[in-house]
Amino acid sequence: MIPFIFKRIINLIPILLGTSIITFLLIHLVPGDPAEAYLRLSQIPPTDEAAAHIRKELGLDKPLYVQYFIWLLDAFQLDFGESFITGDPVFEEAIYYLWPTLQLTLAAIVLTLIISVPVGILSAVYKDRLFDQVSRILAYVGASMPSFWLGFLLIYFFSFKLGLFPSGSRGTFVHIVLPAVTMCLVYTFTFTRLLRSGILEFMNQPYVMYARSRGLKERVVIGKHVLKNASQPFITAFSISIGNMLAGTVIAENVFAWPGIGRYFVSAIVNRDFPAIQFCVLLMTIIFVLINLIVDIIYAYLDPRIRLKGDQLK
Amino acid sequence: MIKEIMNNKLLVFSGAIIVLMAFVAVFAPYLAPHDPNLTNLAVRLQGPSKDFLLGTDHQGRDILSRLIYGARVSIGSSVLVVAVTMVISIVIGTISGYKGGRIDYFFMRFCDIIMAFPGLVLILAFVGIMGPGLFNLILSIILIQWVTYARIIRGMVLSYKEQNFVTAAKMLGSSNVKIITRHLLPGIIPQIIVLATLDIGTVLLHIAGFSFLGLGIQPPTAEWGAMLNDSRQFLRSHPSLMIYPGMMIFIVVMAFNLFGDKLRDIFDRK
Amino acid sequence: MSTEQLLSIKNLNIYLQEHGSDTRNQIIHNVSFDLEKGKVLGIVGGSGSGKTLTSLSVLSLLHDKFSVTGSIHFNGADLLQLPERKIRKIRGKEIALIPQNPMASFNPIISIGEHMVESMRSHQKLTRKIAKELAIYYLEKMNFADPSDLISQYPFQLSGGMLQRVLIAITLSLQPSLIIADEPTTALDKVTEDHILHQLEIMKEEYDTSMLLVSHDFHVVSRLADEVAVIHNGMLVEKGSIVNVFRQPNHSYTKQLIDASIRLKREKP
Repeated sequence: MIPFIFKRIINLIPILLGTSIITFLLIHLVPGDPAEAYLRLSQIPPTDEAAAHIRKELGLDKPLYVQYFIWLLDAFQLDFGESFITGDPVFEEAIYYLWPTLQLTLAAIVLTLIISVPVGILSAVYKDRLFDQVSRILAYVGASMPSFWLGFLLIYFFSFKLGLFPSGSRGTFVHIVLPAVTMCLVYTFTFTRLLRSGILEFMNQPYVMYARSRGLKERVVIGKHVLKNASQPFITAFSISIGNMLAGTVIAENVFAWPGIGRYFVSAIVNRDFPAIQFCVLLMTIIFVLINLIVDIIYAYLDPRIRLKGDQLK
Repeated sequence: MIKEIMNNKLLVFSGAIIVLMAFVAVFAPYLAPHDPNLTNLAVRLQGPSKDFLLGTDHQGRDILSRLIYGARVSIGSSVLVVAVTMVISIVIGTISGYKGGRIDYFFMRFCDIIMAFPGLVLILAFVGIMGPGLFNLILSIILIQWVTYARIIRGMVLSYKEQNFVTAAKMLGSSNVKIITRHLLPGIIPQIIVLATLDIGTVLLHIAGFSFLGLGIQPPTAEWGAMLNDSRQFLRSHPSLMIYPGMMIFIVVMAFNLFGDKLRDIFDRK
Repeated sequence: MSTEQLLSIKNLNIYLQEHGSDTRNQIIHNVSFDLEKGKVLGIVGGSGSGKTLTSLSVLSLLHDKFSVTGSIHFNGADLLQLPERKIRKIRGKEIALIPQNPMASFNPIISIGEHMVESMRSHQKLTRKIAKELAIYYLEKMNFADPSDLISQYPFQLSGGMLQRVLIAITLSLQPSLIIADEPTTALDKVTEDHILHQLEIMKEEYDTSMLLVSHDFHVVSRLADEVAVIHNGMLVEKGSIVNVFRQPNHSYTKQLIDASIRLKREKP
């Protein structure tokens, strides 16, 4: 297991370097001169001297690769530049918004799992019966539902009409319910179907029949011999969706006025605050990569074929 | 085949919705009863009436007309994005899969890096750098999406390349271009059509979502996502402002998803 | 029905009805046979003859698109009438299956030891520790060199012949009164086949187990079976003692099967 994790972390290095290069280059996609953009946003008249001065200050006069190394070195010291708008370090600003976003994402992930796992199992057990049909329809609804519309509908019914949950901002536990539901609903029913088809596929495996023939309890047959195998495509889809879920916080935070990194990101885009945009991308990517790493480790833990292959290579 | 399609009620139903929406989008100027951008504060936030069938919004614009014109922008831009994405993906995916070797290696490493990013976040970033607006949004989505699809198509080409008749054509000395256009592409086109149909729904959701955030289509252009954003202040008092555009997005995306799914069922059975 | 019969199948019919289809195809037609305690009955037939379906129906392991009529009496009780709860207690403990294709019969992500431990523990009150020791004991009986290492290994690390021996070890550990061995040697090479048949012979002698031996190969059946039943296209075409059937086959299909097995034997180097 340890060699597997080690190998997996080593594999991350080129990926992280690649993403850092692309993130760094993002700023050079800016139409026109970044120095002038900076001056405009700082409301300094963009004279030639001012531009030259700022170019020097931002290091824009050096060759690209030198700029990259300087940027990377600064990044290792957690220096990602200052916001064009507030002048504060973007690292500190963004970290301040990070926790609420993680909280929301985790709540959505937990909610997705709590709903989709039992519903997926029941849909497989009651295949083609009413329960399965309803979950099939819900999967289509979930995949076609714009989450911002869903958010509005939830606010309208559960907040305005029924008064059950607050319509926005962050505070006690009840505040997280509606945004988390908004974020998870799209995925919940897709995952349900994935798990269902996985279970049905594995239910017909010879080893499941053999497990039954040895007199194992049906609970053990499904839970141990079917579910553990069927969970693998589910886990893969899950790890891919985490990225979209992270981006989904942008919408949910916007609808529910949740003070997280997604709202910070959007306001950075609207204000064209490049260092802030750059850091948001980097932060969300790192979270995404780390969650994927954890998922991979869980995956290997579940599947000895992957785990032991790593062992043999040592 | 025809009989099979007719038998499949859901396929016909979703197909009919798509055709209807395409018709509305194309003939919007003839179908819309009013100018979608004509503001008239005297008639703002009115309920349904003979003059305004679905009522008016906060600037007194006719909601029905805005929905009709919105179909143009939402569906039109999604179809454009998917069409361009698919062309790029087919070309690059086929070359990478067919040629293999160094080209394929570099392409795959490039994919690894792009796909290490959460896709939507990268789209957000591109829009953020290039500046909000429909054109930049479309460009950003294409720039990110093609990677995923090129990789899928590369996989299809790889699995198809090994089949006997392709090898036979190669041994008989057919040119590469001929093999690709006569043998490879016809085999994978059905799968690509399914992929594209399913993707239209997803892209439509992205475009509407970005417009909702104010990063896509800019006011006063009528677009469903942007209309939802406009409705925000009137959520409590005039929920219909948010019901209609949301419903439109939902129906169209659902139609494309259903259509793509049922199409796949038909292709799979062969 | 005589009381010495351990297993007695009468007028067994099996039908197949695909989901959403109205037509019902009969696959097994009126099959009847008996198995005496301590004896081995060979069920012989070509692929698709319905011999595996017949044997699986004894344990109610058929997919729900199959329906079964007739009676299957085991120790006096009709298995087809028993509720699932009671069938489960018979599976493994009373009647154990040695499935065909050992490679596919193990859950790829569960260790060999766990396969054995969970089987024993579902019928007996055993601590994990004792169950593990028992697993090692039965693996030793199957001539594995290092059973204590083997139990922590996974199916993909073992060969087909090894897995087949593990299947037999699992069956031994359950100590059933009837074993259904479904093509126990088909997936194996000739040397391993010989070895596995030898193990089954020992098991029969040592534990006095009764056995339904399902195979397409007359040669395999003739090594172990006391009696033989030949199934062709879902119908029982011939049954009798192995010596009689082998010497004087009545049905032309039986002759074909015997000829085929002799030819195979001659071709062996």
